[in-house]
Amino acid sequence: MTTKLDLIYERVPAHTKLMVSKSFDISERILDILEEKGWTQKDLAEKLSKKESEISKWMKGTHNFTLETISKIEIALGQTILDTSNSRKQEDVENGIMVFKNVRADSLIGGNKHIPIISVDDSPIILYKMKKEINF
Amino acid sequence: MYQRVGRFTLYSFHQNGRHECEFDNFLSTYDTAENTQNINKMAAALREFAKRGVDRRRFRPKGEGPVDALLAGPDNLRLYIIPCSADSLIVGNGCFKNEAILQNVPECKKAWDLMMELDKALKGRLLDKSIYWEENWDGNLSYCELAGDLYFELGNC
Repeated sequence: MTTKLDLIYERVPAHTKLMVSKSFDISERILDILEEKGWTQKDLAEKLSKKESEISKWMKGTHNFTLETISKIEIALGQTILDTSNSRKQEDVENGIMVFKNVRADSLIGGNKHIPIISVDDSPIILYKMKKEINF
Repeated sequence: MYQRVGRFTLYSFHQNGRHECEFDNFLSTYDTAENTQNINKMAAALREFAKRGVDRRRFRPKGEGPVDALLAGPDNLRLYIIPCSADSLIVGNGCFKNEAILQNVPECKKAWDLMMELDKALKGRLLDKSIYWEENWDGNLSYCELAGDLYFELGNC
């Protein structure tokens, strides 16, 4: 039987479902850290100068955490909650990338002209370490 | 039983003389144009509980008793809930309540009192075994649901 809740859930935008799911992930991570440390929600509330009821509200999965709040919680707990560090990008830089070079095109009269439209120093593009050059 | 999603069961209760259960009454009252986002978040959260189960740590052990609330929005629309087991929640009615104490918001107090009375009566019956958890199967999936005497006479009913 289709319930009123089903009908509402069907219309919930994908981004709201994702936001709530992420809020559950974040609060679960906070609860895990609290458990590891043997802290209560009240302890966290005190560290953050918040009411315990506010922390309790965050734990229900409907709270839209701001980056500022997450940062404050991370400092209070001394652990990372949201791992979006650039470690992945750093790993890519360290591994380097392969460059595929069209030698024939480059050998044509005049060659390929790769004229930078902005100077390298001003470029927002991250410079990668070249791992290998493959000519074709 | 309001709804079962896999192993998870959502319960609500029906007051004599009302055509809707308490949870549907809450949705009928608060699912308005200005509250759509709040209700959407609550619906998504209830479905997330169904996927993940009820983590007791999310609920304050020394909070306002066994009744807790799902909150959404800056005006704190709240839906009263009782975590029943790892796979079930009772959802009741709700209200708007910010900093005001419960006693000063009649709408909230009424909804909250009803949940408290229900919780007390339910626990009593679980103890005397007139209500019990029954294991059922849906194909290969097992789930537990409350069975027995689920008719209550509460308050001034």
